[in-house]
Amino acid sequence: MTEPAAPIPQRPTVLIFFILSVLLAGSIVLSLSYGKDVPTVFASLFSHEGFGLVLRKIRIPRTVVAFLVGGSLGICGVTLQSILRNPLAEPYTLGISGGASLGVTVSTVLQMQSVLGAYAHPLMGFMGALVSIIIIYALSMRRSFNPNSMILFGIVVSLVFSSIVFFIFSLLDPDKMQLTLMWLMGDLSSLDISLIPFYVPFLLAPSVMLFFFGKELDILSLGGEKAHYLGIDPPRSYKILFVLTSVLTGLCVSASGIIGFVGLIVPHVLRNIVGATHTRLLFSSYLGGAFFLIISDVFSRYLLYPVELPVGVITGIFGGLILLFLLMRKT
Amino acid sequence: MKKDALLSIAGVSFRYGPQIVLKDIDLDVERGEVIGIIGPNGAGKSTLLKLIAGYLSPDKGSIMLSGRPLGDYSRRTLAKHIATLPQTLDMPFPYTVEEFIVMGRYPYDRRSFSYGIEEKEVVLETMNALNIGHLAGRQINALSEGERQKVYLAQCIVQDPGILLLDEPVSHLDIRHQMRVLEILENLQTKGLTILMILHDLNLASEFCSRIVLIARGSIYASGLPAATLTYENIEKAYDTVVIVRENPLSKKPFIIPVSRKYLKADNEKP
Amino acid sequence: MLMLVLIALLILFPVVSPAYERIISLSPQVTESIYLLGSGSRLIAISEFCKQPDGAAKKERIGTPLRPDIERIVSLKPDLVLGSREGNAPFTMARLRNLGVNVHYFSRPKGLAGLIENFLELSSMLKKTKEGEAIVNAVERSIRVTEGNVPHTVLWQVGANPLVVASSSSFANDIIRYAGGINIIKTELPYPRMNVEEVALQRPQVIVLTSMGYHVETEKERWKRYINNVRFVSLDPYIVGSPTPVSFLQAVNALRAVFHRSVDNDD
Repeated sequence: MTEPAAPIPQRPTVLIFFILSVLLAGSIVLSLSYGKDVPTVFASLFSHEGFGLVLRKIRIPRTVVAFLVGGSLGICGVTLQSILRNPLAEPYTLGISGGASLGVTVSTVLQMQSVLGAYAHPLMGFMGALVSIIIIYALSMRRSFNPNSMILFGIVVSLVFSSIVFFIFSLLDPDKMQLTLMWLMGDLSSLDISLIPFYVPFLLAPSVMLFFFGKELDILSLGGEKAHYLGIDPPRSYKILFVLTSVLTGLCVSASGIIGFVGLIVPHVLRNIVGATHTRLLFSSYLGGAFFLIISDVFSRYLLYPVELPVGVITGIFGGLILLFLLMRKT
Repeated sequence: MKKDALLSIAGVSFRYGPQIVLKDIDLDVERGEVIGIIGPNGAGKSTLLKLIAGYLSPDKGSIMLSGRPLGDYSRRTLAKHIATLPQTLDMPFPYTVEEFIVMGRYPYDRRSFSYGIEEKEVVLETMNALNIGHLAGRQINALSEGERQKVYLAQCIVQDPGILLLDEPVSHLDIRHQMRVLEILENLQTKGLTILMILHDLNLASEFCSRIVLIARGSIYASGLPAATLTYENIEKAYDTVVIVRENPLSKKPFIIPVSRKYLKADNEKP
Repeated sequence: MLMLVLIALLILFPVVSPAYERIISLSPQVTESIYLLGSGSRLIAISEFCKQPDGAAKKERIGTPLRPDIERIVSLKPDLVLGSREGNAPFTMARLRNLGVNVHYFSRPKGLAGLIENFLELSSMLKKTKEGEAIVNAVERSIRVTEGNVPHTVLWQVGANPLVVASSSSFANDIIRYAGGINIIKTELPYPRMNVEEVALQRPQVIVLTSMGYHVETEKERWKRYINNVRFVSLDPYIVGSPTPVSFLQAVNALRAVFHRSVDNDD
């Protein structure tokens, strides 16, 4: 009757993280050096002419943004999938994007660039996100703060905001509407270089904080009741995690529009590889999200060069196909 | 109310909205007791367990753990004293057995990124003690009901609590697994653990519990040794069902046989 | 006999076709063209987006070109409703036609030739053929391409976030061509979303900014980071979005002015 304890099969965690890091490094090199050889790239690092200019002022900033946004979307996806206990949740599930879209649309209509210059879109996008965060938070506080009310209020607030966006679009002339829509569809090229020094710490800080929630996310994924029995105060955790992920998502949308599928597919794929525990999943999804977005951006830039494709379209097609493949394999 | 009781519930009432679920519950629990909470569906058994676990707060009355009100304990300290297994636990993510059980160590090791060697030792020991060591790398969702229930229990055990609260721990299991799980609990009791569990099978409650608490319509209808509480009068009144109570020839505990109505009719027709 | 009447009608029709007196314009360039032809008084209503000339300010508005107020249009009893293929949805025009309204809409011009063709068609509808031809002749005279100079390289920026440009297959390309410039972006798509790298590497001498939902000064700052000595032409988006032969010439002249200025400065 007594069965001996079989040796516990260890996942090759170190190997997996090594492979992920190599992939990420490769995507960064590709993003910086596409069409050139690596020595040229190094030589150009200190040049202010020709490719040096392109490298320093276009490719490096863009790769930095893709890295930070991709990683952030990855871990926001992990966090929300855990607390909503739904492997198909993603950063936009909470409805932050509706508010950000409204902010950007308002910025376009009121021509706020004439006052704020290149800061107008990111600032207004983030303000919009912040307004929706505050509304969803305040509404959720009126009930017990739990994932269901977060989703419910998120959907409602997002619906109202996107309806207002469409209301404004119907009054806008079609050209302006189309140009605003294009930004909302995801665009890594637009963030002004001078803003990047602000985005780096504000995107990194909440991400680093989220890394410390791995164990808590394990517990929360068992549901509020069991989490309570394991020594957590779930409403308090939900509040902190809601604020961290929604601020991070809002910042991402304000930096680069709505880039779908990164936060959904990256945790989904990696859960099959590194396992379900959240500390490993958070770290690997940051690397994986950054890799996925950088590689998708390379495709969006060079597939039809010099014509550029919206990066959200690339992540959508790749992500959708991968998800379809995973679902087919499971059934 | 005894001063030195491990757990002391006094005058507790609880309502969901306008509906009174529990009314004036008094219950003292001594260290090492195995208490079987029985009673018809909707009587308030699960609510009582959630109140003791601190998941719900009573509208009236007090619950004391080792002489201090439950509310004085932090969530984490309480988790070191009381482990609770809810009636259902669904798992949206493919945790392995080991990954799941080690979560029981969370109250002891919250801050680090992953659980330390000592925590993993505890898990390994517990798995071996429950004969589930061979399942360590398996996914929980791929286990049978019986195996899964043992894994859930293992998580509660590594929490190293003084009190174990279990809501129907054996309801979905076949008799073999029912007996294994209850034997594990019996073994834990000999090591000083106090157990309160909701059971639907009156015979299992009779066999394995040192005390029976019969709850009906939100109040304690009877409380005491199985032989004193599991009488046919009590059961018939609480459940509105006719039973025959006999004695188990081996354990000498009460043994309950439910009686189908068709036999009652036959009896009545015969003069 | 019946045949004769029919033939007579067909021959007579152009002669007796009415001189339209109650016109509704759903398109900014059509409104402006009507004013150019001195027939502004025949307009009874115009679209929300018709902003020029100043005389149009007092006209009744019947909604945006994309969603005009059809009930109001019908109740105004116009004898002609004019629109354009780029601004008005075909189904709204079809609906008006089904309601018995006399609708005409102009095709999308690919360049100056098409623009002139549309303009002459309009002037004949308004029985202003002579005036129309006079305007066209004047424009054609002053627009003739000056040969010999090396063409300036030009980027025509339509949108900023993300970068959208007018390529060699767009209408705007004709403005660049007549002005004596050359579009650096050569694609089949008229208005492609463009990789910024390409612009930084090609280093256009002149960038045309039309402030479509973006801010001209912000964009100037951006481009100066990548390209030294670049010159800018700021065009009213209205001129570009709703061209008439006259505004086409204005745009061409604005570009030429910048080209000449740069030549002077380079010397």
